[in-house]
Amino acid sequence: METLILLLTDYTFQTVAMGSALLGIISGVLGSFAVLRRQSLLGDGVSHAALPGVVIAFLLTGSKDTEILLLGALLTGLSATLIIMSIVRYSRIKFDSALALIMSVFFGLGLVLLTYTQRMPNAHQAGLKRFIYGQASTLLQRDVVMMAVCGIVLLTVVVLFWKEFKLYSFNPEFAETIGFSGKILNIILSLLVVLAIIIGLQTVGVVLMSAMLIAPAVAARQWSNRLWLMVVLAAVFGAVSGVVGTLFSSAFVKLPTGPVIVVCITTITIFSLLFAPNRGILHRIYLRRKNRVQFKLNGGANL
Amino acid sequence: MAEETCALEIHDLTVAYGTKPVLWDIDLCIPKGKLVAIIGPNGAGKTTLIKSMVGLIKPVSGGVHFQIIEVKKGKFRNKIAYVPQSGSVDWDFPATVLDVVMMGRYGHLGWFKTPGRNEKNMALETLDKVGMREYANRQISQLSGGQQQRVFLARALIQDAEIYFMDEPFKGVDAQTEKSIVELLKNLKTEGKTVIVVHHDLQTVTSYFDWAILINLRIIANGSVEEVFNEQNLNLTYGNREHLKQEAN
Ligand SMILES: Nc1ncnc2c1ncn2[C@@H]1O[C@H](COP(=O)(O)OP(=O)(O)OP(=O)(O)O)[C@@H](O)[C@H]1O
Ligand SMILES: [Mg+2]
Repeated sequence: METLILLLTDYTFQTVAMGSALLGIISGVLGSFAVLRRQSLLGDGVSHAALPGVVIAFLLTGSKDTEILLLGALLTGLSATLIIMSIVRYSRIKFDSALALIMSVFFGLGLVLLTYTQRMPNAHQAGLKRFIYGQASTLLQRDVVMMAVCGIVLLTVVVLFWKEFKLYSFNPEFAETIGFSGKILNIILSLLVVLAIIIGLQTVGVVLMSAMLIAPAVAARQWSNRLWLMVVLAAVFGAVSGVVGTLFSSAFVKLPTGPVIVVCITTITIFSLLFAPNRGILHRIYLRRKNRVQFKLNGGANL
Repeated sequence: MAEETCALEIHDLTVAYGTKPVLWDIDLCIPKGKLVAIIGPNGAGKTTLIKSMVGLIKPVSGGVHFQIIEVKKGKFRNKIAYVPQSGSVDWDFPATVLDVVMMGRYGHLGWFKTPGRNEKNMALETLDKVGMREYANRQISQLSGGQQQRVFLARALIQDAEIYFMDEPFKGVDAQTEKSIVELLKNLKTEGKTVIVVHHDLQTVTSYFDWAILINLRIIANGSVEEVFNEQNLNLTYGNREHLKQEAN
């Protein structure tokens, strides 16, 4: 107990927990829209495509600043998104194939560049590898401040465009016919999702980031039938996983924070898929049983 | 036909998916204030025609001109209402019936303004019209196919448009509901609105509609139902499909 209190008052822990919670909130909110638009996989593509951006930013500037490295990530992440969307729009190749293609090309390029860079003298201290699996312990106070600022901007945009995002996610063609440009809304929403991913790279890394985007939303959908409730719940689930994951990894097991956070949110998601009322798997099995019993009692006669 | 006012005119419209033309050199005048049926076999291009008319598909050539109303790209277009095929959306989306119907007012609200009490009341009234008021707070995933259609219809009615475009609004709807929907459409006509409906049931064309467009890649016929809805034109539209012709007789 004492160690727990000691830990909770620890400055480094507070910083990391704060950062992870912010990440959980941001990815929960934006992930909800990605999941509802059936674009969950896009997150995976963007996050993997961010890796070469990190390395290129380092190669060009020689800087170890998170901001600069993430700026590089943002640029390649965005290019990948644009390329995927153009391929889908202008060719007969389907979304999933285009995604798989671009994702492996970018990620492969990232790994090649990374291997090459590791041989350079000052590369090791730059800690580029932390972007693969994430390293929450490297979060500094100014990183967290940056996350908070980005988070506030993202959430403001979501609140501002709430009605438009809802309409566009449900029925983009109808939105277009009443004058809400699908092109513009798609760009804004995708931009927000890409930003949310970039924000999470330092904490959970390119490999696991898409789980942070998808899992809270999938879990939240199980417990709610209203869009606003789903988005709020996804944010809560994301934040809770961030804090609990940080706690676990630093207190009990000394495991890397990012993966532990992902394990937390995945646990919540599996629990929700099984036990949620109405939509949960157990509830459905129970309903089927109940119906079968009733059916037998009636002898099936009056059906 | 010359004395009719066109609600919209189509000139030299050609639409293709990839290299395959789906609509070929379409010229049309759809008269104002009529109940119009678009008729043709599966794959004839009916949905494509409707989507081109509401601006969802960019044609290879030609274009659609609205005569009685002004429709501009990027502007809020409150004068046209589009009812897509109900299978075109994910009904598992987390929203209630009321939420979806209120979306019909979004074009009037414009960017950023949120729907309020006024919109809610309008939505409830419109749900009354389609007989769905008691479902207002129902999750949309728990609707039957016919109820989904009626929700989409309510969303179009609340738009208070001049021209309505409906893609198979009777699909999956029982006889009773179909009758009440037809009543609603006829009411719209009496108010001077133009209603354009993709329709599959040849037996009901004469009793529901007063204008028919027969289409199969090209326009086969365009005129009042008495004028153009006959065996010869149906032959041209459907080819040699005996059972369909018999249905029509
Ligand atoms: N997105 C698309 N990509 C490629 N081809 C398409 C696409 N949509 C439709 N088509 C083709 O265009 C033709 C016309 O399709 P359309 O949906 O307009 O037909 P329809 O008359 O509405 O048919 P139905 O009665 O089955 O609804 C069909 O041959 C179809 O295969
Ligand atoms: Mg169709």
